[in-house]
Amino acid sequence: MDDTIARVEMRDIRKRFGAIQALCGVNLILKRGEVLGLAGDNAAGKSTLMKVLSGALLPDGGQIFIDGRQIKLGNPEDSRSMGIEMVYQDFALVDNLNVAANMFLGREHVLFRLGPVRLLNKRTMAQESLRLIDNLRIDIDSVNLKVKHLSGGQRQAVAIGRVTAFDSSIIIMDEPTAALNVVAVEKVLALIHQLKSQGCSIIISSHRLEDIHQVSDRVIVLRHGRKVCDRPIIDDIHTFRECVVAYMIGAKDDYSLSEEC
Amino acid sequence: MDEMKPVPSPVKIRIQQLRNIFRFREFSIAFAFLGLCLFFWWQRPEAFLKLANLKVIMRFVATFGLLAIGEILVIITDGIDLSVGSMTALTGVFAATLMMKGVGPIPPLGILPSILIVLVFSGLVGRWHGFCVTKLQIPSFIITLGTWLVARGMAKYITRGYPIVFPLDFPFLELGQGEVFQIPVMFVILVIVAVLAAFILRSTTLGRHIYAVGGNIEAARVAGINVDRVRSFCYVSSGVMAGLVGLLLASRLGQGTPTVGSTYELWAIAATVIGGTSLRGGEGTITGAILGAAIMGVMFNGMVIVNMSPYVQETVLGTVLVVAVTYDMWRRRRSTF
Repeated sequence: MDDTIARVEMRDIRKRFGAIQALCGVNLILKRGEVLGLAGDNAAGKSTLMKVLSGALLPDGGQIFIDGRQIKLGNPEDSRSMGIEMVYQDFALVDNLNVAANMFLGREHVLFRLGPVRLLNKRTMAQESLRLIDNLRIDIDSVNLKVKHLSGGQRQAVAIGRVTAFDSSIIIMDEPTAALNVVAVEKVLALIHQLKSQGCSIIISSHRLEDIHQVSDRVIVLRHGRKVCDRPIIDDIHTFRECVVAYMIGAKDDYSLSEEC
Repeated sequence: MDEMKPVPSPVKIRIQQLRNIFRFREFSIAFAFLGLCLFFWWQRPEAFLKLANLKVIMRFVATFGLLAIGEILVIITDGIDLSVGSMTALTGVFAATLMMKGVGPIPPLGILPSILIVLVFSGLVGRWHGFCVTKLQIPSFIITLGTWLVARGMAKYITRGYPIVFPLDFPFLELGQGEVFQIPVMFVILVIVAVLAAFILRSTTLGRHIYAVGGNIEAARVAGINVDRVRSFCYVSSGVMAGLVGLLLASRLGQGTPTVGSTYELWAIAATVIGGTSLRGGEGTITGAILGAAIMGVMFNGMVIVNMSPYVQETVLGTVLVVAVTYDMWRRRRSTF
């Protein structure tokens, strides 16, 4: 496929919650096989922007293109069918189900269906989950373990592994490292590298700038619902941090000429 | 955390498997059930294992087992259905009215149409509960408590307090009093329904979604599961089970009585809880619920045949309930680590 066409392009996305303009005309481009970091202070619009792309929120204005084709996202199902998957901040796993069941929740493999009765194909799902887990080198003993017995890092790994089960090639991660300890963070970042090498395009939002620096090719900084910075990551971590913080607090702004809203 | 994994030796694995059998949720309940049976058999060897007595126990287990099956579906989705006891009275009275008296200008109906109408009616009551819980966001405790009163009141109103008696040779009575190869029809119905329900819970997408909704309803929603439909299904099932038990009780007693089935909802809940169901949702099995009902059936019956005072009986049952739940929670806490 043509590499010059962006995998995802969001143009002039606007979203208002009552009196608050959460997004005022944000443009975003995600290239094929790219990891894009999304930084910004609280209430800068990171989560809103991601939820728009995942179909959980309807934007007030703007267009979204996938592979150059304009699409309309009305709900999470729509974006899922376009191959967009979101890893939720709070994992969105079901504690009392096992790893395999969580991986295929809502999209179970079915042995056969008879009217409303759909027989689960547990063996295929277990095998598939095992394959996905091995693929991503996730360290989990058995796919029959209930998720509540897993550590935070393992849970996040399952949540991320889950999105790979459906050939989703665009993955949105909202604060994937927020609730994790240092070792688990390393694992999750390794996982993101892995997904990238498998050809996924990834957007990751994080408060931890070192995480963004470590895995992303490019960073976008939002401030008050506006994009203020969009540049490749080439600096070392210290310069990068200083630079991004300057954008986050408003000391720098690459797009100040665009109209205020 | 992701610590180093030592490679377990085959012997260790064998021991682990053995231990898992003992940890198997239903094992301890089945063990308690067998222990109870042995105890009453030892106490009254001539009475307990008599065929007639076993039939009494089976009818008992069928009544509470069927109610528990409906109840457990609702409880797994983190709800509760308090209406089932009163609903058995209302549906029994309703069935008797349809068959014996007719409603208003409509003459008495045949047995099968009446049964169908009653089952559809009880399903609609369940649908109403589902609607209130999912769309109106009313807590299930409140809305089913309402039905608990309304259904009992309607049963009394319809009959003016008097039972509607079936003739002695009425074919409908076969349902609650008949036997197939010495096994009560009621019990056969329980087995069929239990197998069906266990199949749905264990092997179908619907069953998996029921557990998912009970475990984490938000996660289920973002996974694309129609959580409202799943929850409604459970309330409808519970309603239909109450209707079925209402029919069976009316048939067994030979009359539609407005006072039948009082506190049965609590017995059904007790059966599920003894069977290892968490009232916080997400956990529970049909096997457990049936075993819970079986334990209660054997206790009710056994305490009578060993001539225990009825006052003591309730005390003992209450104690058993508390001990069972305490043990189960302790075991579960331990297995989590």
